[in-house]
Parts: sequence; C-alpha cells; structure tokens
Amino acid sequence: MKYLPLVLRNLFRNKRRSGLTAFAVAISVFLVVVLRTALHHLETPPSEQSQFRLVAHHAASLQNPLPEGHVEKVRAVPGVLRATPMTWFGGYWKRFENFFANFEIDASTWWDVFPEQRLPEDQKRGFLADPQGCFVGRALSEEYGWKIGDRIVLTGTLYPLDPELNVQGIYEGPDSTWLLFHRKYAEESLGRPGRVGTIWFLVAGAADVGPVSERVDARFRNSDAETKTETEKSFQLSFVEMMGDVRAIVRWVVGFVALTMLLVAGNAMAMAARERLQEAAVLRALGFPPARVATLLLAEAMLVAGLGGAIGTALPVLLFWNFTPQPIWFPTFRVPTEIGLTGFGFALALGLLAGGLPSWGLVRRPIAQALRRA
Amino acid sequence: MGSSPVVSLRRVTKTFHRDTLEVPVLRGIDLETSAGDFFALMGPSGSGKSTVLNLIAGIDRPTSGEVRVAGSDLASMSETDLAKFRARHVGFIFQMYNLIPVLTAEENVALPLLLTPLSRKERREHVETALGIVGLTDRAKHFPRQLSGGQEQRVAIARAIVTDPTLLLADEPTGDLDAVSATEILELLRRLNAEFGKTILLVTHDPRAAGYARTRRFLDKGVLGEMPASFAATAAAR
Repeated sequence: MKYLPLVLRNLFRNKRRSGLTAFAVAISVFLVVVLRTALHHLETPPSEQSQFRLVAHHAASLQNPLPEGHVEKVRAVPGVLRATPMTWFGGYWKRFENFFANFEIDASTWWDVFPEQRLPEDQKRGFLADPQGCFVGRALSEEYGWKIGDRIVLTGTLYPLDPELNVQGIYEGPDSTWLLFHRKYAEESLGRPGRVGTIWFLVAGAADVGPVSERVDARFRNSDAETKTETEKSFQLSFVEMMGDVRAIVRWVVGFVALTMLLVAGNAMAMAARERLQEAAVLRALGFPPARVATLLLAEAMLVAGLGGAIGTALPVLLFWNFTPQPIWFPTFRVPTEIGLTGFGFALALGLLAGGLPSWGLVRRPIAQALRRA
Repeated sequence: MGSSPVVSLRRVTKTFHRDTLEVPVLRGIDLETSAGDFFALMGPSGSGKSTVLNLIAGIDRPTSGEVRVAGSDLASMSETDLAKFRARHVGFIFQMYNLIPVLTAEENVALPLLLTPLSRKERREHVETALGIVGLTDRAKHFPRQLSGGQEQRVAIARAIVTDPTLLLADEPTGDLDAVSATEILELLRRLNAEFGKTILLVTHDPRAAGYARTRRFLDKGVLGEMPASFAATAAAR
C-alpha cells in the first residue's frame, strides 16, 4: 500500500492517455459483457421448471406438424409425468412489426406442464369459459397496452386464419411475453386438421431426461411422423442456431475485441514504459529490486484496466437491469453475475498482458546503460 | 579519517562492446577508499570516471578484477542482492538530480525509505531530518518543477542520505549548476563529510570541485595516475 501514492501519481501523469486507455478498455468490456449476456439469454430457458421439461417435435422440421394422436402416446411413455400440446401460431397484431410469440394450447393440460406461468383463478375461469379467449403475459400486455376485455385480431402467417381473441387474463411468469389461446378454436376454424406443433412434457428428474427422450423418439420411429425430443434449452438453442453459429460468431467478435484492446492498451503501456525508462533506472540505482520497479508499472496498467473494466461492467449491469430489448428472444437482458465478473476479469487479464511486457522491458536494460541513455 | 577500506578495487578492467568493436574503458585500476574519506576522482570526459562510480554502486559489472564495497564482493552478487546492497550502503547523487517529477520533495526523499521496514511516522521523521540537513524543510511540499536547480540537487542529496548509507556516490553533482549553487552543493557535501562522517566519492572533471575533497585521484584513458600540475594547483587554490 505504501507504493500506491507513487502508482497513482504516475497514473495521473498523463491523464488524457490514462483516461483514453481506460475508456477503450471500458468499451471493449462493455461489448464483451453485452455479447455474452445476449448469448446467455438466448441459450438459457427462463425458468427452473424448464430443466426437466422436454419438447418433442417433428424429426424432419419444426415446420411439419405432428398428429394430435401423438399427445396421448407420449403421455403413455414410461417416465413421462404430464404432457400438453402447444402449437406456434405465428400471428402478428395489426402490423408485421408487432410480431411476438403466440401459441395454441390445450387449456385443460397446459398448466400441468407450465405451472410457473401464473394466471389468477378468476381470469383462468374466464379464459376457460370463452372459446375465443386468450391470455397474455404481463410484459406483452404492457408493450401493446392490452387489458382484460380487449379484443385482439391476429393475422396468421402460417395458417389461413385471423383469430379474433378476447383478452381474458394477464399472466405473470419468468417469460411473460406470450399470447396463448385455445387450440380448439384454431382447430375448428381450420376444419379440424388434427395437428399439433410440439408436445411438451415433464420428467421426474435429470436422470430421466436422456432415457425418456429416447423412449419417446423410439415410440414413433418408422412412423409417418417421427419425433425429435430435446430439452427446453436445446430447443431454444436450435432457434438461435437458425441465425447461424451464433456462439462461434460471439466468440470471434470477443476474440477480436480482446486482441484489439490488447494492442491499444499494450501500446499505451509501452509508451508509458519508454517515458519511464530513466526513472526506473533511478529507482533501481536507489536500491529498488527490478521486480518491484516492474510491478509499479504493472500496477498502473492493472489500475487503468481495472477502472475500464469496472465501468465497462457496471454500465450494462445498470443499463439493462430492467430492460426488455425484444420480448421474444430477450424478455430480460439482466447481466448474470458470472458474466459481470468474467468481464471484469477480462479487463484485469488485459491489464496484466498489456502491462507485463513493457514492465519487463523496463527493468531488463542494465541500469548504467539506461542512465547513460537518459 | 578511519582506516578500514570501504571501497576496494583490484585490477579492475571494463570493456564496452560497440557492435564488433571493443572499447576498453578501465585498464586494470586499483583504488581504495577508507571510511570517512571525501574522495574525488577527476578526469576528462570519457576517462572512465562514471564507470568507476557505477562499478562501486553495483549498477555495472567489471569485465575483470575485484570490486569490494563495505565488505561485499559485488561481482559475485545477483541483481536482487545488488539492489539490497545499494539500498543499504549506497546513496546516489546524479548530475541531473533525477528526481521523480510527480512526487513532492519530501516524497522524493522518502523513496529509499519505502524499501525499509520503517513505519510511516518514522519515515516522516527521517525525511524531516534529511531535508533539515540540506536546508529545505520549507520546500518539502514543492514539486521538482517548483524548485531551482540547486534546490533540486539538495533534495537529491537529502534522498541520498535519508537512509544513512555507508557511502555517498556523487556523479558530477555540480555539472548542471551555476557557480553559486555549485558552491552550496559542494559545501553541503563537505559538511556531510566533516560533521556527519559520511564517506563520499565524488566524480568530477572540475578541479575546483575536487578541491573540496580530502583525497584526489586522476583518471585518464582508463588508467589511474597523478593529478596534472594545473589541476592540482586549481584544486589546492579553493
């Protein structure tokens, strides 16, 4: 600690350079944290419940529906606790820009599998009693200003149907960005095609996930509609992967950001080291061991990087604490603690690398030679 | 003047390498300084004076020969041990003062004390004493840029004496000063030697500065010899 005043004085010796370097580190950490947070929210299912929730869909493509008879057959598979059909309707409200998650559900079984989506009992009764009823998530209702009693007309994009729906309830839950309406209404309006998009079901625990998935898929093997069963997380990821290998893209971007920042910070520290060559030689002539002189410069680099890292981490944490950038993919954009810590660690590692080499160079030159050069 | 040798150089050579060229700077010199001496090493530019000082301070190594300071054989010491040796035994005074510009006078003086186990209070007391000796107590909070050249050199002397080292090494300490300031610095060095018994090794090309020393040797082309008559007369005339 007794060296801190010296380190701080040196740090503020060239305020503009230190400030700009810290700012550059802050931007890079901000980018890294935001990108990793985006990936995290894309990959992570929103609730605890979803750990043991599996989804079966057509093996060929999500575009292909499954026969509704599959639902009962899934329920009969050993290890399946409860199952419910759920079909992506793919409608929008008024304008195509108002595109959000809307599903046809079987109201009698849906809450067996999605208990975390809470709808008040009176609203649930209202929904069950109204064939054209729907209920919407809190976040979605706030985005579009919907309230109970409103009439919503969706425009279908996958099916020749524009359902006219009455808002009977507003649910709360980990993902409150959906609109859900009766599957029966869609089925009857479309002439009872008897299709379901996906079948969601629960298993008892983590050990059942693999075996039960295999049993379900085995049940429909060599049928007209083979299934592919996935965990909710993996299912969610498959949507992400439709955009390309997002994880690889994020990794590359993070890698390039890190490399660029390493060069920027390294250059700044190299300049500081060059300016400090004479003083380093003087300190060593006074009896400071080489490692301590190097550590003083390294500490400067770490402080600049740490400051940038703190700003770059704190900014997205505060900015996105209660932020919904996009209701379907990013109902929340809160920065997870581990990503925040990683961002800060990334900054410190940057400081270590950027400061390490110049610090070593500073004390590598013989003292007499450095003094003569000065 | 005491009798035990604080500095002892035996058959010391030093050769610098400039690309493929070998430049011999010291050609087998023998030199001895006793505790309490005020020793001036004179010589023209390029004669090897500063190299001798660097070897004694342990910031350079001889090509051959033995360098013993305060009982230690410097040639056999590691860089870390040499740093410890300098912190304990050597106070360095440079021609260009070499103060740290972002630190105040008292913070500059306190620098060598950071290497000691002294408490903050003890360090402050040592700094006050050192600044008192050089007469700069009232400039303690000033930064180097706020001081004159002479004052800067006095701060540098305070920094050199603050740990009470065995040996003070001064490399052309008046080389960048006007005549008045130079006299003040030389008087201060003389006082440190006379009143406080500090062993001082002064390197200078100025015979007038060398006149303040008790012992004077002349180095020319890497060889120690007698002082030329003109130099000796000037030194004696001080």
